[in-house]
Amino acid sequence: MPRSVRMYAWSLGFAGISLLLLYLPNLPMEGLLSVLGLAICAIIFERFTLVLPNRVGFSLASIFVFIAYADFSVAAAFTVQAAEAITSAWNVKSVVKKAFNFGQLLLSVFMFHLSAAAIATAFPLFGWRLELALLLSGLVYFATNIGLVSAVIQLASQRPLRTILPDLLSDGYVGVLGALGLFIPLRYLFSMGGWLSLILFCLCLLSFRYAVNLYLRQKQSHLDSISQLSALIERKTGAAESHAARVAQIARSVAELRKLPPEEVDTIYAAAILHDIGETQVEPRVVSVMARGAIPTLADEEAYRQHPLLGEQLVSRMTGMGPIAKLIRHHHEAWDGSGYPEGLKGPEIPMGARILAAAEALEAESFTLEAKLEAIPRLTGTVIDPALAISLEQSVHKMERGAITTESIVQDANMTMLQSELLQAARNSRLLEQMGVGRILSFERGRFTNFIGSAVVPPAAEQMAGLAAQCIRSQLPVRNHLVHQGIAYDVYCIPAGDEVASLLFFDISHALEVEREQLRRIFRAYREIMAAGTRGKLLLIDDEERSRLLTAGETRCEISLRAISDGPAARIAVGNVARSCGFTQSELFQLTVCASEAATNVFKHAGTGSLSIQVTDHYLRILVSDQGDGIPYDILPQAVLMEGYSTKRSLGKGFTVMLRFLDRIQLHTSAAGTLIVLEKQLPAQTVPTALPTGASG
Amino acid sequence: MLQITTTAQSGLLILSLDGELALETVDQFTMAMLNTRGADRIILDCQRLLFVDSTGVNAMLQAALAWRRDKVHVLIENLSAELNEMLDILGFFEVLAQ
Repeated sequence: MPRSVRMYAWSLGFAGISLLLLYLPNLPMEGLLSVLGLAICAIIFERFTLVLPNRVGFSLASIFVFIAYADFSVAAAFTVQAAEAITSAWNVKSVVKKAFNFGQLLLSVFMFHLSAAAIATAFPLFGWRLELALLLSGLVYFATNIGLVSAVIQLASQRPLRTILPDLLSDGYVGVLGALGLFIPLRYLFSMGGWLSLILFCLCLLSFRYAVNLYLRQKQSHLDSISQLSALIERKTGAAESHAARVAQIARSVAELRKLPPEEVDTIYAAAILHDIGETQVEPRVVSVMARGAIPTLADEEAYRQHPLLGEQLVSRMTGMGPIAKLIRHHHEAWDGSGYPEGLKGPEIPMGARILAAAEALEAESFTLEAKLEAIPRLTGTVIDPALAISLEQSVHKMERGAITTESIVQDANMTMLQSELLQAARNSRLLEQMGVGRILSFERGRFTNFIGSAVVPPAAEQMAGLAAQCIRSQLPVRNHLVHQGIAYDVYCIPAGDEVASLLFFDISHALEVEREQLRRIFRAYREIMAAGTRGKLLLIDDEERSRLLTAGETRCEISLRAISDGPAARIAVGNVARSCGFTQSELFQLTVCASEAATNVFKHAGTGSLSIQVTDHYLRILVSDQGDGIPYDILPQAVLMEGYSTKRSLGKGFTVMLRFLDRIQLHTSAAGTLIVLEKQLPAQTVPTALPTGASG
Repeated sequence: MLQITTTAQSGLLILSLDGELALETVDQFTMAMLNTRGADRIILDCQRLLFVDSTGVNAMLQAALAWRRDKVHVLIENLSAELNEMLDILGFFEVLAQ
């Protein structure tokens, strides 16, 4: 937050506190309960804002401040306003925001008081003149409020005031009119009928609020269901994901820019979501041909052109969807009459269908802003109604703020070679290509919504909700990996407000598989290198082969390698088993040396491990394992094949000796540890005899 | 286990190694080698040296190189065939010949 904004907010906060301390002592004790009652009403109506069916909401809390002023005193007005300001910012974490909120509201009350006092000085106030003075002072209250908020927006965003004020006025004028309009009747009710009348009226307002909210929730639920249906249709027809959602976003934006009634906007939006539902009734092969942009046969094209009619038939069967069905029927009509199914021309096409056709045509263009903007003048007059061109441009600009595509990475003519190579590598990267398309969602009050405000249920919804809640609580970014129905997701949560979090998540399953395949390739390459470098004597083995080795053959002996003092016991055990297998003295020595080399590696690199001896039909096997950090693949060839290479102070010739004395070495190494299996072919016609159990681990 | 017996006679030091020279006994060997200062000639008698691995050979090599720097004449005697092969594989003689 810029320093200027913080200082501004703190200044207002201190000014508000000063005003409160100045006037609060004048609060008379008689009527205190009434003032507190008005404060409670203000708090309630600040919490439960009134929402109209067109989704415009406003708070009525200021009415009770005005009533407190008119019927009690300026101190009462300050008290009610202070109580409301404190409780409204209760859940706001930022102290600076709290200070700003408190200060700007109390200053607004102060200006209300100054205005009323000035009018009272100039004119005698009685009857309707008093009400008029209060209304004018109310306007001053709201003007002060808007002015102070404009100033902080200007400081924070550096936008000119002339662009800020119209936005604030257009958002807030309904609230101002509603508050001022309800103030007079409410004040009369309070004056004439006392608390009972006021409470009854407030209950009526709250009931109205409840009814409107219920209506809006039902409507949203209806639209959400349509969105889910659209997603199912896209999966069935193989259409690009979110095509309908993008068309709907453009269509809604154009409709709102053209100031169409909210009901019509919702109808257009719903029709956009469902516009291709008719494709489910067309042969999938035909839909695929059209989607790929391939040249269809005449029969296929004729079949495909039925989908708007089929869509209308489907949708019109649902109650209340008649207007939506009509728009679906005409969504492929063109302004110049070249569309289908009826070839309507110009104003014959319903406005909603014209908007839908324009959005559909634009969405079919490339993802890039430039391509879309170039397409608008090209299509205007043919597909697109010329009256919609400007709104379409504005809508595309709005959508572009969320769009991220590879084409939108700007090629700078001055890009260095390194930057060019990096860009090319990014485009050629198979790993990046396998990253599933990310989705951006919002999470607020237990609900996920997409970028067009529709409710969605993401995969692993419960876990994502947990992450989002944690992010909101801590107000810090959170990242985690989740797995749901066999798919892995990389999830990022970023706080976007006091009770809102933005989530971005990627399907990383394919990328993980690419990575696993790369690791398998690296393993195979190293395995071949090691085998070639040792003429097949050294074999790098995978997890499966390791597991088989551990259970093959008869285990004769097991020794724990806990300390270097266990080395001699391991050598004795190897010697005993080798002797029983009929090896010569020289071979005994060699096997003992190899076991000692392997054990020494354990002590030096991992600290502890174990040694076991197996006898199979053909081999004596000495298995030495540890749980160290393993041998990194990138130094494996040097560590094993290069004489004198060592990461510790030693001769670095352990493997040299083992490769010389043994018939084969099998090696498994990973971050979980290393297993080395030393193999010597049994002497010919040897019948191994059982040993007395000597050293054991 | 390793036992080192030292016999000194007029500038000649005979070190008899009895046992195994490996990771667990190299420190003992190295300490014993530090106590050979002052001798003109050293004989390492390996008749009773039963086992040596690359760690042990490395310790012997470091000792031999240190003696050579100190201009001490060193002789290694009574190596068994297996020990001789080990030293050969690990380049002990080759390094000392340089």
